[in-house]
Amino acid sequence: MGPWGRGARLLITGALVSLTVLGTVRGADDDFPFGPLRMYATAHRPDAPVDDTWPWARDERGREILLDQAAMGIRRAEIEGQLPSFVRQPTRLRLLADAYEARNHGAPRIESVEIRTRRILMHQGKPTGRVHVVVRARWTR
Amino acid sequence: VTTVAQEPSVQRSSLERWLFAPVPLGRVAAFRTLVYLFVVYDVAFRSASALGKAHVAAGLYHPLKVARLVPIFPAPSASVVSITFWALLVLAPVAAFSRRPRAVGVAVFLLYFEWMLIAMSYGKVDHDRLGFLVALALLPTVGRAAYGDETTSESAGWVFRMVQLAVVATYVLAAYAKMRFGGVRWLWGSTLAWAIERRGTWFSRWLLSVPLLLQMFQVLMIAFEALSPLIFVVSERVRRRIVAGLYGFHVITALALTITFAPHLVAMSAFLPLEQVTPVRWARSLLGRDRSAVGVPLRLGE
Repeated sequence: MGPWGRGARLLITGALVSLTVLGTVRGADDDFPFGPLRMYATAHRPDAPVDDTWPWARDERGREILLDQAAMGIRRAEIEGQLPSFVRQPTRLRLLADAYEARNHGAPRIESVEIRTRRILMHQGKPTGRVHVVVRARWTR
Repeated sequence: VTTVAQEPSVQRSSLERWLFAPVPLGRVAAFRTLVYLFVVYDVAFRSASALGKAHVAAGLYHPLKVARLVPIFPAPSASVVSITFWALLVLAPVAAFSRRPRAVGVAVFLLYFEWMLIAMSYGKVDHDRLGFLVALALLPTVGRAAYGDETTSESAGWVFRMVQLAVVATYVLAAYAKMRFGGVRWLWGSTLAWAIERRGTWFSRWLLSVPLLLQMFQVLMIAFEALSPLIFVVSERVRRRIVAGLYGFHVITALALTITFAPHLVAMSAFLPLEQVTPVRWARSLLGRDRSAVGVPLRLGE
């Protein structure tokens, strides 16, 4: 390895280390691939309820369908990430119906989509056994 | 007067010697196979989500900063998604067997990066592949490498060191992020209970009734994450044990929460003497054929 190759590699090393550290100290997910490594970094109070959120659809035959990744190609975490925008504009749920229908040709038409949160009540870090189901957003064709 | 100033090893700092500690080229060949075949597996079997994006109306698409700043990464129309998909499925196997490792390697890196932008521009960014992306970005800086080649190379050593640094950064910066976003409360919070309640399995759900145990796990987890850089100062024997322990930790996480961190696990193999894994030679010797004839590269002086 010549001096140029070595110098270039040292520069790359410095850049990668600085960007990675800066991303974690100051950055956000938007700074991918140098965003903060924030997996499971949110603290949850032991008495705070656990929210388990899923989108559900009802087709024209009245069947309920869980809109998971296999059903429509969109991950649950993505629905949760965009939840505020669905709450503000429930008509956006139509996009989920479109995604489902595009992946399931010939399946009965989707009549309505709603995002439901199972709110699992906790006490000192333990589930109490009580669960509230809350509809966060709803769209009907 | 003959000068030795040109001889690089003379004037190097110990940091440089560590960054460029040479490794056998055979390790590069084996690591390439692992990394690029994982690209094939990841794209073909783990990216249903990204493929689905082709169908989704643009309304859900929020391009990441890098896609907004660098316009060479196109927005995911149906054709962009399928071109990226098929190009990766064709080129990654070529790179896996060290054919044109520089050109094809760069192409695979750019395509996979685009694939990541497609996967992560819809409301969720994953945090499991810093080391893997560093491996994809830097492997093309090493030229040809043959399986079993024992010639050592500093440029190969640097790539492995960078991947190792990224793997360890994933742990130590995860501990930092827990303090930044969760604060000290994270330690006695109920993050693990929250995770198990949402995606627990038979393996982990019983833990919900023992919150104290979960809190102890949280403390242990952040301690091992924060101390992970020690892996660089221990002996090779201890280092291998730590790596085995880390793989064990991820097996448990997978059983408990069905989260695999698979690309990170591939990158972590940068700590292992991969050149010693020679399945073709093993198969040949098992079949009783001459093992010295094939699989070992011919080098000058042999």
